[in-house]
Amino acid sequence: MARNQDRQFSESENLNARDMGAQPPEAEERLPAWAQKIQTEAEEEAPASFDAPEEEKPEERPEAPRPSLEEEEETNAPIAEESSVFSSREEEADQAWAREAQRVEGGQFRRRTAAPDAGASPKNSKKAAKSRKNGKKKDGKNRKKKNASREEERRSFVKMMAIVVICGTLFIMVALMIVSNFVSSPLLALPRRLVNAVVTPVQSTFSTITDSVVTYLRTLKIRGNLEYEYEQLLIQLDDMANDTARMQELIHENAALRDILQEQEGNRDMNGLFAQVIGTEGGNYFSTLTLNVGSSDGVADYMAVVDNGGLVGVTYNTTERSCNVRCIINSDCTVAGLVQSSRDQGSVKGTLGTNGEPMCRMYYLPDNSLPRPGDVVVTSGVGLEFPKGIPIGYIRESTRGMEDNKSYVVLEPVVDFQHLEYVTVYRYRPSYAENAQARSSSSQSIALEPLVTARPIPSFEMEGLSDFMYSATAAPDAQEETPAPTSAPGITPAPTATPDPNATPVPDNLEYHVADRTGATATPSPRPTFTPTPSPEPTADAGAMTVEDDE
Amino acid sequence: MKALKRALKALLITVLAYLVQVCVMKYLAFQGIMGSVVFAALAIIIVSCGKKYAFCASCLIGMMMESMLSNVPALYVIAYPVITMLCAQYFADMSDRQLERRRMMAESRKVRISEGRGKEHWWHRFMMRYRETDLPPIVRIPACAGLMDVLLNIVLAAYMYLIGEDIGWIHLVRLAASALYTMALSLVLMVPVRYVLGMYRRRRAQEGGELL
Repeated sequence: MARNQDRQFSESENLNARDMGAQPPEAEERLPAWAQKIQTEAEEEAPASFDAPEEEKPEERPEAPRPSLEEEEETNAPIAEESSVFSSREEEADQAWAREAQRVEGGQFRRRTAAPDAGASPKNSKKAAKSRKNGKKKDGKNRKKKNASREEERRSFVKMMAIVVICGTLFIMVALMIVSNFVSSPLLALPRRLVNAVVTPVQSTFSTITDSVVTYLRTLKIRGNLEYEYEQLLIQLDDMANDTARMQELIHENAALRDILQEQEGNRDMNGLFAQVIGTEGGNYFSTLTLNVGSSDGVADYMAVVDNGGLVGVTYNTTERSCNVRCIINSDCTVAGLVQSSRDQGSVKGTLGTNGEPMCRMYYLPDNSLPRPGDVVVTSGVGLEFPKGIPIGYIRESTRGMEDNKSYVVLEPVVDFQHLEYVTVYRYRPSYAENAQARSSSSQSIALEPLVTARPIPSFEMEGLSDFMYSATAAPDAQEETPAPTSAPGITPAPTATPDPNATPVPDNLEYHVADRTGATATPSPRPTFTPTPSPEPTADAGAMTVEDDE
Repeated sequence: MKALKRALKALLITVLAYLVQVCVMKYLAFQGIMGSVVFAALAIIIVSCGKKYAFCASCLIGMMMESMLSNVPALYVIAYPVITMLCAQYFADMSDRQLERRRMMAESRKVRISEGRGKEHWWHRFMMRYRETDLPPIVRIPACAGLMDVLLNIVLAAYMYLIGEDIGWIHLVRLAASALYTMALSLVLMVPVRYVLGMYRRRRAQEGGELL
C-alpha cells in the first residue's frame, strides 16, 4: 500500500518530464516517452483504430457517440487500408514497439492499440462502406489535428532550442568568469561586470529593506519587553541606590577614619586612642557622650577628646570599658584657652545650659585685649593636663558681653557636636619636668647690653627667669691687663640630675598639630562670615588743603 | 507560455534565495552557524523542475556569488553548478524510460525472490537501485539540500586545510549543524516554493482526472 502511495506521489512529480498537455499514463500501463509520442501521433491520425480508454479521448469530440468495438473494427479496417500514410506510420510504430518490447525482457509492454482487423468478414462490407463515408467526413478534422501536431512539434523544437541557448549562454558566462580569474582581459571580465551591475542595485535595495524590517522588528521586540525591562531597571535602580548609599557611608566613614588616623599620626607623642561614640545625650542643658574605651585602654578622667581638629570635651566617669565625655559646650565644663593671635589667655565655658545655644564664652580676658572676629582660641595647657594648642573655637563677636560683672567674648566651637561618630582620646599626661622644660623653652631670654662708651661698663646677661649670669666686660684698652678669671679650686660643681632611662624622651614641640582635613563631615555646618570693620581711609581732598605762603 | 512562466518563477525563486542568503541569513544565524537558503532552493528546483532548471539556477547563483562575495577565485562559480548537477543526478525525477526499467527490474527481482534466489531487506526501499519509483519529495528535498551543503562545506574545509588550518572536530560539528540547518530550511521552504511553482495544482488536477 505504501509503495502504491509512493508511486502515485512520484507520478505527480514526473509531470514536468511529461510536459504540459501530456496524458498521465496509468500505473500499470506506463509507456516510454518515445512510445507515447508515437502512440499520440497514431491516435491523432487514426483515432478510431485504437482502443483508447475513455479518459484519453480528445476533448474536441466528447459529445460524439462511442461506437461499439465491432463498429470500430469495421470502421478502422478500411481506413487503415485507405490511408497509406497512416498505415505506414503505424507499422513503423508497431515495429519499433516490437523491437523495444523484445529488448526489454521479452516484451512486457502492452500495446493499447487494437489488433488489426484480420478477422473482418465480408458480411460487414456494408457497414464498412458506411463507415468509410464517415471517415471521409472526419478526414478534414484529422488534417487539422495533424497541423496542430506539427505546430506542437515546432513549439517543442523552439522550446528545446531556447533551453539549449539559455544553458549554453550560462555555461559560456560561467566559463568566462572562471577564466577571468586567471587571465586579465576586459572582455573576459564582462560577465562579472554585467552581473555586478545587475545584482548590486537589487541587492542594495533588498539589503536596505531587510535592515529596515529587522530594525522595526527589533523595535517591536524592545517595545514588547519595555515593561519587563522597566521593572528590571527599577529593581536595579533600587539596588544601585542602596549600593550608593552604602558606598557613601563607607566613603564618609573612610574619610573620618583617615582624618583621625592622620591626626593621630601628626600627634603621635600625645598617645591618641581611637574611640567610637556609642551614646549621646543631646539635651537642652547638657551634652555628654559615651565612648567605647575605658580604663582598660589607658583612658583616665580629664583627658582631652578631639575630633575634626577641634576639642570635643573632657573625659570623666571612666569605667573599665567605657567613659563619658563632657563637651565644652556644657555649662559646667571650663577649659583654659588662649587667643592664638594675641596670646591672651582666658577661661572657656559652655553656654548650653545658660541660653541653650551650643556655643562657648571666653572669660577673664585682659581688659585691653580686643580679639578680632575669626581669631582661633586654642587650649593653653594650663590647669587641666591638656595638650597645648588644640583648637577650641573661633571668636564670633569682638564685642564683649557682661554676665555677673564678668566680660566675655562668644566662641563658636570648631567641632560639629551634632555629627560626632568617631573621636580621638589623647592619653597625654605631661610630667612636671616636661612642664618646667616647656616653660623654660617658651620663656624669652633677656640680654642687656651696655652702650658703647669710652670707659668699660660691666654688662649683665639674663637667661630665662631662673638662670641669671653675670659677666663683666673689660674695656678694650684694658683687656690685656686684666687677667682671665680662674675658677676657685675649692668649689665643687653642683651635681646634675641623672635622666631616667625609662622615661619617654620629651619631644621638642609638645603643641597639638592640626592635621589637614579631608572633609569627612557629611553636612558642614554653616559658619558666619566675619568681616572686619574697614578702617576709614584718609581723605585726600585737594580743595581742603592749604598751601603756606613762604612770603 | 506556461513554460516561460514557470522559468520566470524559477528565476525569481533563485534570485530571492540568493538575496535572502546574503541579506537575511546573517540575522538568523544560530550559534554563528548559518544555513544555506540557496541550497534549499536549489534542492527544491532539482526535485520539482528537473536538471535543466537546476543547472541554470546553479549557474546564476554561482555567478552572483562569484561577482558579489568572491573569497576564493572561481570557487563559487565552479562549486555551485558542479555540486548541483552531482546531486541532481541522484535526486531529480527519473525519466519514464528509467522508471520502466526499474519497474521491470523490480518484477524480475520479485520473481527471483519468489524462487528463493534472493532476499529483500528493509533498506532496499530507501535505495534508488531497488526502488521502482522515486522517493517522495519530502525526503528527497531535505536530503538533497543537506548533501549539497555538506559537499560545499567539504570543499571549503579542504581549502582551509590546504592553506594551513587544522581541521578538527569543531569543523565537523559545524558542518553537521550547517547541514541540519539547511535541511530544516528546505523543509520549511518546500511547501511555499512548490506551491508557487504549481506542483500542488498539477497534482490536484491529475487526481481529479484533468490537467491544467
